[in-house]
Amino acid sequence: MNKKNGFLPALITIVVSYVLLMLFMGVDNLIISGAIIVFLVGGGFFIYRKKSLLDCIVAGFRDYKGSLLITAVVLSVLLPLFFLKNHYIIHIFTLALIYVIASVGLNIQVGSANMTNFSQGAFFGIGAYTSALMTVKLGLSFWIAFPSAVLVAGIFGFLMGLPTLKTREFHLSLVTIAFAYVAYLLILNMRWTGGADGIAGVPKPTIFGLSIFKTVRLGGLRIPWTTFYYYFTLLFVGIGIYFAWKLHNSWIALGWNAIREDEISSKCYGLDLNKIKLSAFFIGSLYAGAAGSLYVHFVGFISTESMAFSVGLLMVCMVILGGMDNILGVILGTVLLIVIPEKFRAFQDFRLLFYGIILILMLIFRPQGLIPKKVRRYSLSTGGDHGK
Amino acid sequence: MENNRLLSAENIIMSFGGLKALNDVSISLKDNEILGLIGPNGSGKTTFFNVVTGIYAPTEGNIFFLDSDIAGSSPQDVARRGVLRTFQTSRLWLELSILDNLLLGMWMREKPNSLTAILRYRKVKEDFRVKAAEALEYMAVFSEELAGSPYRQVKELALVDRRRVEICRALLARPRLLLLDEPAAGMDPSETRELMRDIRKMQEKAKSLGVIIIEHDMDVISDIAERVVVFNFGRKIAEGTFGEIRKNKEVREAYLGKEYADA
Repeated sequence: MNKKNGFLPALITIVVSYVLLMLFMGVDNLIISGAIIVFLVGGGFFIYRKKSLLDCIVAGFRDYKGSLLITAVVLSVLLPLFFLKNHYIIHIFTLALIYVIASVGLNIQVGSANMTNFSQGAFFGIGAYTSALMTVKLGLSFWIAFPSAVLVAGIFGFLMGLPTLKTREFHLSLVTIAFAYVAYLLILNMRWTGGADGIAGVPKPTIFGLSIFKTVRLGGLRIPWTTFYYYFTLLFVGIGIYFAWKLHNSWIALGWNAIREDEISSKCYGLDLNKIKLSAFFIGSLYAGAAGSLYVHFVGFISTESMAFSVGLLMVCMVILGGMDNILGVILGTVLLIVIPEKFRAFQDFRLLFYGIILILMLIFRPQGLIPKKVRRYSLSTGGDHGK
Repeated sequence: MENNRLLSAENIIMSFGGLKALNDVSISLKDNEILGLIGPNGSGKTTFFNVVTGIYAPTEGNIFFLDSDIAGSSPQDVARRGVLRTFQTSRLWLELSILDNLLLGMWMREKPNSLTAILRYRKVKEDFRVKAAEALEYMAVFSEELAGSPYRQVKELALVDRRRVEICRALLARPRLLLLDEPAAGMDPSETRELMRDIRKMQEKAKSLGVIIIEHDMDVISDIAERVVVFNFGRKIAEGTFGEIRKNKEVREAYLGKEYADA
């Protein structure tokens, strides 16, 4: 394969989508926003139909992971600088990043192991409540509350995994739906969680005692505090994706894939199904807990509305839209589903309808998601002839 | 029990409701032996495999494998003791690549752990490299072509190739006992011959490996099996070398029907 031809198309794809996304968020005109969406969908469809171009882009992404990753990081870092005047947009992108963490974790269950878990929203809430209670009621620092939130969510994920071990597919999903409702109702009805009022006044994280999440004025330039929280979250997203990627290329992910494909066969090859499933629940919930904690310290307030069943449903939509078992796809799906509806707030009431339509269209026309899963590649010692 | 007994299934009864799919069946296998298991459709051959591999727990009877009773153990447990099988309709992990399937065959030899993946990623990568090389070396014995395209998804493969991958996957688990359920179904005679040659080659390489093979093709059985057991209606009706079996009246009746056997 000619190595030269993949890089530029892949780079252009990234940059063009990025610019369009920036324009989409930047302009204050519904018609232009709509036109950008139409253009994006049309462009995507065009590339999809033009096989040679698509192959070229895919090859580019495969062969130039490193440089494209750097491009993506640079673009993400630059992103808030376009919106210094409108900190609400930075707020939206920060939310998108937080949801990326949760859906990357959910992807381990839904994408890798085919355990459609609708309760990721509940674990998100458990993480958020843990963090909020520890900082507000106990006065502990974010740096104690955050790991606790991650761990507590993980433990609840493990515990919820136990009753699902005997179930599969729809029945497993039913257990997770039940759990989502039980967690929601429990937190809503208990007094020490704040009940329906939720918990307000959750402090922003401090770093070595310094509160860095403050709006700064540099000469005539006003940098809103959300910018710094955006970078803060971006750091966690980076760490989360790094771990997820390592897991994806390890034995345990092969095990997740094996139980997705065929449980009987997996049993006959000595795979410990219970351990593999529980590890997926545990690790996926760790991500939800981290996202929840970051969320509550960002927004400063948590109520059960942030962990309702619809949140878990939305996260499943993100994974299915983006591409199951493909981290890049899940990131794309999450960003699209957070960012696009924001622009159409006028049609807020139709939001769930919109998710539903997207889900149905995807399942009919492209069940593998926007960016489908890839075949795992290994470094083979036999060299060129066994490659490609 | 004799030292060279690998498997000894004694008086197995497997009932499903009122139906006795296996009725007082006893089979034993020596180490390094290749045993043919034949019989008409529905005579209980695959059920026997399912009972041995722990997919069904036998209603009655004992199964000794390397001197421990494995009757009623879980499939995982049986596999970890070294009993591996292939399926009549191959059960590979279809959306995964050939190489993924082969590597997963080696799962039991690895002690996979999610922490190693994060903390010792280099080691994991190196481990995959070594194992992938071994996997492709095995695969090359069965088919150079399949070994040359390790990233093809298994669902793209022809049924015959899927069988090759499946047998190879089982062998990579380093079994002591390999149960092959109609490995040559759908293959033409030359492909079948080639496959049997490869299986025997791998068995010699493995040094101590017992094989039980279910097959309808009598050429295969006469060629590869040292001893043959015949099932009919869940019972063992005959046992012996292929030559002996061929002369057995009951066997001919089971296969050909009474009037033809008498003719």
